[in-house]
Amino acid sequence: MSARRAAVALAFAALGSGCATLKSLPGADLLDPQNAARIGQNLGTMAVSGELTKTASFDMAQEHHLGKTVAAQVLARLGGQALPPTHPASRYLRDVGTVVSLAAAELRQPDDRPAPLRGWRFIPVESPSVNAVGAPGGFVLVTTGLLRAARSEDELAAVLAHEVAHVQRGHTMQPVEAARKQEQLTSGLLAGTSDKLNAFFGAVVSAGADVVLDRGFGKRNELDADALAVRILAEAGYDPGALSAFLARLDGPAAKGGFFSRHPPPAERVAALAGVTPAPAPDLRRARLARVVASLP
Amino acid sequence: MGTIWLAAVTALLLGAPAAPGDAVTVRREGARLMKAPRFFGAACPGAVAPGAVVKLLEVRKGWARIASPGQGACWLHESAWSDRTATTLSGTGAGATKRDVELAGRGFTEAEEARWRGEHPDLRAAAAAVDAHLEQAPEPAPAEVSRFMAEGKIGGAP
Repeated sequence: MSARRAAVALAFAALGSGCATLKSLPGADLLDPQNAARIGQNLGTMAVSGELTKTASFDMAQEHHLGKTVAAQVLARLGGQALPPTHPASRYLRDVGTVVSLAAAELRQPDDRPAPLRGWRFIPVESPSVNAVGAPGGFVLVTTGLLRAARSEDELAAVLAHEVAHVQRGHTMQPVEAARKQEQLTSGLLAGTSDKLNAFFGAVVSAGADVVLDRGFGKRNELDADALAVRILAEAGYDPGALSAFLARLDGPAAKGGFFSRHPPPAERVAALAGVTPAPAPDLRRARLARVVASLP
Repeated sequence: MGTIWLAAVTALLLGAPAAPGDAVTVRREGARLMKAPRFFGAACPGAVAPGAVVKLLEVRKGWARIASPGQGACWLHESAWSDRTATTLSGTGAGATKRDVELAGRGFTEAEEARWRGEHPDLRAAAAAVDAHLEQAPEPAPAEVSRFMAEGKIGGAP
């Protein structure tokens, strides 16, 4: 196969693989003889240098910088108003989240992401929607709507455990690393063809916010996060059945949008957690959450 | 086969497990120094800050006992020092210009974050709110965690 034909074949394979950057290119540009020849040369160079087969990986400092920007964008899309760190709800969320994240750390697997570089941050956001979002770098945003929807601290801990599980298992970084590899292939293959390169960081921040807010991490990862969340709750000493209780109660019309829009249907998630029976939440933990909810603006 | 491949990639990215005698550099902010190899319970006085180099005396299921003069045995979890290796993907095409290589090799750095913020003034308030939580709401110390758990009778908390 000539370099040109190989390049065109690879380019179309990339088009079919869902690479957004390549998809945005007009096909005619790729078929231009000069461009196709250049892509063929680039393909050969990258194959010889090993760039073609390298995987994309970010260290925790890089994840931190990305996570801060994704968190800011998610916050803006949720309405933009975070409660200040000194607010009772911020302190409470931080305390519950820390218990959950420490329990998650006890359950770490070798292929999990390392701990967030600057520790976990749990940020309450003023919004009536029922939503919680885990972003790279250990940033977890929780709406006041979700705080109001939870009946007990255990249910709140269950939602936080699900989000912490996503971050710890690496679900939040998988799409970023895949996008990074695609970007590298794009920029490497198209180098010298014409000015087709996009600023990578901005594109990934937008894509990252889309994934954590709208698209979710795929059914398999969502159910994986649920299963780990149950173990985290048990490890922490919360009711392992609290996630099922929260999901079952908010099934139906309440499960529209927000936390539910990017997940499998609640009934399916509850079914996957079969055998985990909710226990009545202790009064003092119900009361502790109720006091915080009463302090919300 | 898949499991072996995954284990190989994981080892490559995370590095070899620590062993007694190793010296490691603490990376994580707020790393906990505990009296037993467990995140919940009593903590050792003092702290280990990012950049500190500690020598591992004993390694047990992700925890390492470290030298801590005057404090008895203190345990540090591997999450305090573990990291991933960032790969450098340069995308070295044959016709790559300097700008091509710069763009392709771009990582997520503080400078990159600052550039992004500068290009998104509409997100300035949201970024400031995230910064405020980052700077003013660090994870609570072990004693605070224990108190919160005890007050809520969480699990086996005393």
